[in-house]
Amino acid sequence: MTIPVPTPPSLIGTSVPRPDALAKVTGEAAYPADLIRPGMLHLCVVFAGRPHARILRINSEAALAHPGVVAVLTAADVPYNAYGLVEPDQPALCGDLVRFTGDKVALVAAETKEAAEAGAALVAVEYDDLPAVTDPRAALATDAPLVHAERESNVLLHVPLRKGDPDAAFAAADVVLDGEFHTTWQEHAFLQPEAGVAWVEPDGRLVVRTAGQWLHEDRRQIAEMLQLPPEQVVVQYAAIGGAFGGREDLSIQHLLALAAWKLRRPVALQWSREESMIAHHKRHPMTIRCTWGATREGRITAVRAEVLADGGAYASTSVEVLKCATLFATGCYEIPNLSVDGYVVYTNNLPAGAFRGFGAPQAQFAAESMVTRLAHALGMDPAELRRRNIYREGSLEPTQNPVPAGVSALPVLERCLDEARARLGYGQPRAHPAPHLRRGVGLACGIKNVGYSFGFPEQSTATVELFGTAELEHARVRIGAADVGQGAHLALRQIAAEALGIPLERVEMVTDDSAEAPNAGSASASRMTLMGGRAVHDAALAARAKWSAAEEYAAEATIQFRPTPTTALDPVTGAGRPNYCYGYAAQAVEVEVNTLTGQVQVLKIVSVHDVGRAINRQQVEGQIEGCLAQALGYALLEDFQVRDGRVLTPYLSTYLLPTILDMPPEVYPIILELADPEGPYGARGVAEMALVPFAPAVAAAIHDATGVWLSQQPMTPERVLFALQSQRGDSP
Amino acid sequence: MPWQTFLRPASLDELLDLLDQHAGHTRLVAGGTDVLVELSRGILPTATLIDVTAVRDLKYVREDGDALALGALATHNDVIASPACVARVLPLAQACWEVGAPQIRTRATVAGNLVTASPANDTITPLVALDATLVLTGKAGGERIVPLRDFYHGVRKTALRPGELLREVRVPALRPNQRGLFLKLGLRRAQAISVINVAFVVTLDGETVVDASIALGCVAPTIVRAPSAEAYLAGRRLDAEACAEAGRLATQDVTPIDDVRGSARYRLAALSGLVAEGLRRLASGRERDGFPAAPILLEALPLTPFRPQQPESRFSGIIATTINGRPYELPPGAESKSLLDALRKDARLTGPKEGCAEGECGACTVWLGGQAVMSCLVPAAQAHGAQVTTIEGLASASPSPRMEKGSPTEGLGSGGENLHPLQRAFIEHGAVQCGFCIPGMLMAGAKLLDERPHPSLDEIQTALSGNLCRCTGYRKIIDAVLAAGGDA
Repeated sequence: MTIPVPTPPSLIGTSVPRPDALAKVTGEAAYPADLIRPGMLHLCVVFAGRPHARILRINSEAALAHPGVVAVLTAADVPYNAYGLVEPDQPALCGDLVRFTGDKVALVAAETKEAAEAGAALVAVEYDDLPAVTDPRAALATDAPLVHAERESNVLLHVPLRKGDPDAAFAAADVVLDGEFHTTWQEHAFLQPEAGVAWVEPDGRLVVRTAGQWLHEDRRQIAEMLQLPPEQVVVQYAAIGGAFGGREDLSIQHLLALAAWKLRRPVALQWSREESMIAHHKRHPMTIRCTWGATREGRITAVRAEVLADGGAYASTSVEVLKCATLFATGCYEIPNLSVDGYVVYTNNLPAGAFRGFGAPQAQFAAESMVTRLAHALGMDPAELRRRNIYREGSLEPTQNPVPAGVSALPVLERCLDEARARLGYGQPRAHPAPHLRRGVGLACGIKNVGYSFGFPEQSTATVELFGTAELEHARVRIGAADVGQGAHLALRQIAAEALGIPLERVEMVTDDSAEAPNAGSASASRMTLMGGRAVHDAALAARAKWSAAEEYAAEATIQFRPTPTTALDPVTGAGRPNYCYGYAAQAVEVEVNTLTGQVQVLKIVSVHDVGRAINRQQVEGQIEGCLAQALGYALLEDFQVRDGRVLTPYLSTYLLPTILDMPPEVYPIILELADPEGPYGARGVAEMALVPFAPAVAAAIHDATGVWLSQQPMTPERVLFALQSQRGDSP
Repeated sequence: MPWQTFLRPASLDELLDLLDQHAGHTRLVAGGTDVLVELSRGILPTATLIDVTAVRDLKYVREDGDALALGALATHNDVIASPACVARVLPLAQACWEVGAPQIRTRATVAGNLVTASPANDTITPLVALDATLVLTGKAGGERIVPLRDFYHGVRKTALRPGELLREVRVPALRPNQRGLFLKLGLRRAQAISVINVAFVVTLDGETVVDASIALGCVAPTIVRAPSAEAYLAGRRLDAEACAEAGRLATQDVTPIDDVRGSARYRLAALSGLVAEGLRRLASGRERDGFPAAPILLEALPLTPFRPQQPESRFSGIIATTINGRPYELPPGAESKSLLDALRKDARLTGPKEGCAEGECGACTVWLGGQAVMSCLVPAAQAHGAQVTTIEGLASASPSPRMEKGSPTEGLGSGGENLHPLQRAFIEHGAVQCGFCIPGMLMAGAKLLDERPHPSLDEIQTALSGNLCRCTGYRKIIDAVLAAGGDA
């Protein structure tokens, strides 16, 4: 369908302030924990606390005898005890085995939170500890303990990508470099720990009000667990205190549902920060071993790579993350000859799953570092080597099909280079403030898919209802789309108002109730503005056409938008059409390295993004700036430590997030608008992209400052100092 | 919270009586920044908590001849705000400035830091280098004076006897021929527990070191001195070689361990560099570089910390307090909660948020008697007789600026007409995303505007360094505070 050119004054691109901000600045906004009311039963989870064990017996007698304790729920109380976004391999409450320390064994319900906690401490679980496998490389061994005994091995998925003839290309290359890169877990650390309430309505419907990223998927999994028709389960979202992928898997939603359904009383559950940290999934740790080859003319001709991801105890979204990481192991460059193998394995560590970037940051930490190293080896400006190899219209992906139309990697890079020269003195000699304080600049590119990949069903549905006689008086937009803080509801509202040609105030949004709004798909994969926005846009136009034609007081249209389909990858070669849209980014950073302590301070950031079309410029900037803070934490600071399956950093005092003093005041988000063919008004996603190039840009800047390469994230002071010492030849 | 009884004596005699009665079965609390975290995790549990903060006589920082005397209730902020401390015991002031964030520094006492006795507590190191002495007092044993160097017997073990109070810290002032400095290595630039820290006091005759006192934190079970480095420096000029060699020697005097913040090997490597760099700074007289001329405190008035308790509102088990201008009597049980829990559960004010319950994230920031505090670390009973302001009361706590017609925030619904200028600026500048940090961010930011109506970028960063945001990257929050400051 054709997209009409908006007539001025257009709402598209306008930085309309967020309607939800008012309640958030006055304290009135109700987050899940704010919904807890007197009279509700309080729930407390009994966690396994051990990485791998057989449950011999659960004795609830002492807990039930504790004053105020009403019930102790166990696996026997769960009608269908397996859930998962992609593959249902995770028990709601463990029956026979626990597979990681944050596994849930029992759920205590009591009249007060204190009684629930006391009851949980009194639940006596007898275990027979089993050998745990907590190293992903060890999990590959044929004699490794199996995390899921019914499977043949711990390999959850192997993805091969084959293209061209890498052996011949390496033989012909002028420069061949090897690299090995390590990344660790990252914790989402949304500021609002998991919480929620649930109750059963007099009509028999089960209502769960909490936070999440996908109303209808939460509903599906809860209904399946309780063996209820989906319509009997209602999922509602309160104000959501951040998500970043961390609310994509069920964490407590199903436990609330189970307890309310079993006990027929309103229930409440609020996790402490520690419970949140040990129990929900994390970003995948990955090890990437790779070899890159190039000719002296600056053509990258061959890549061989192995990606090994620690998927933890349950499948979560691991298979999708692994496919992305494998696809992006060659970054945004057209490599004619490649052989990439991705593996994700089960271990007895925390489950790994969705986190902003979804496999792209790990893969491109390796790829972008290798491209810069190749450039150095060739005596070429790293930006120039990128320019010569970066995706253009018609470039073939590692899966041997053309990159979806709207390829803007090159203009994004070129703008970044201009900005880096002007603002960071890229390519210029640099002054260092003191002998032990050395400054450097680094640059990197990034690519990340928008929307679901590899044939995963992709759709977004919206309903628009119109009311008015002589003119459109009121529009009601129904779309079950989570606003996790990113401002989706406002972007969707602006799109509706623009498409209908009415002021924003006349558009009412119904978004947070699975029974009142259709399925928009998840608030993830940077997809909601493109997918949800397009559904709203198309439904608005359809409703408006009906309203004009019928001259009725009211009209309604529901549109399910589906983008160009993607396909599964060929199991041998990886051939296929993995994605329908990409977002492109390029960044340059200036850092200062303290060579006495290894501390790295980021001084300036340029972050360039093609967003297709900024629906709300202020919100787009907010996504870029916020993502940069998470990227800075990931690159330098956030060190989630696990030993033998046990979390050593379960607090915000031990797992450190960037404070306002850690972010450089000089941040330049640069927004390009090179329209996407399918997005509403040309918009494409932006939420994740700033996380992709950042760590390799920092690594390049550290190298520029000091001459050492860091290949392990986070690049902590300790790792930086040791790298400097080995460069100087100091004895350890 | 795991204590049942909260006692709040109003005089030193009463305090010592209670300490004596409960000797060995109680803990003292002042700022609560260590004690509440420990109790919530079951560390040194107690059924009875004795609150020191109503004993107003213990709240002082004063010059006493050649020494500075800090009462038991002197906070980190009190030290930072004292020109005498900054001038005469600079390493201590620097250490206080490096601790936590303003909401912590406004509550945490130096005496409490000494008694917690963690080898990572920042103020112990400079006090060891400065050779401070402690005045301990108890009903049974009377008063005794213990040099700080003799106070620690191991990890978290002190010479304090059951029933004793650390009443005063006496810190010898730097003499004209002495220079002092404190350096800290943390993993981030605020709210960081030390990986290592170092304090120096060097006595010079011209350019020659007569005597060097170097104290090292986080590299042994207690804070230790560096005798090898100190002996080496005596009689030498602080040239590049001497500084570097002293750094190397300091590593011989310590026994660091591996923990989540760093390995022993890293601590040794960084220690050598940090000691050398500190000596170079002292040699060139740059020890005061970077210490702010007018530090941000997030207090309405320095040295007016815990709200004075009215004699008639003596705490006797039921908390009577004023929240957002309204009187509240909290139900029984509130006295064994944190202020955050009491506000959320008993006063039904859910604006203040719990993000960590350990004073790291700042989402629970409220005003208590004019200070911005982390309410998760305040015993609720300390609000007895005091004024509390939460996010729900922020708009009315300001001289009700009317929203201008035509402003972008017009028409956002009821309540938008009467906002604090900072609330308005947050909306207009896009500083709100998920919003969970915003109640705390606004309470800290608005307190900054009380203290500094036109704050600089640095001052804004300092003021908000105790408030984590995971969504915005802080950029638009800074813009909003700058804009509100410009309007003020």
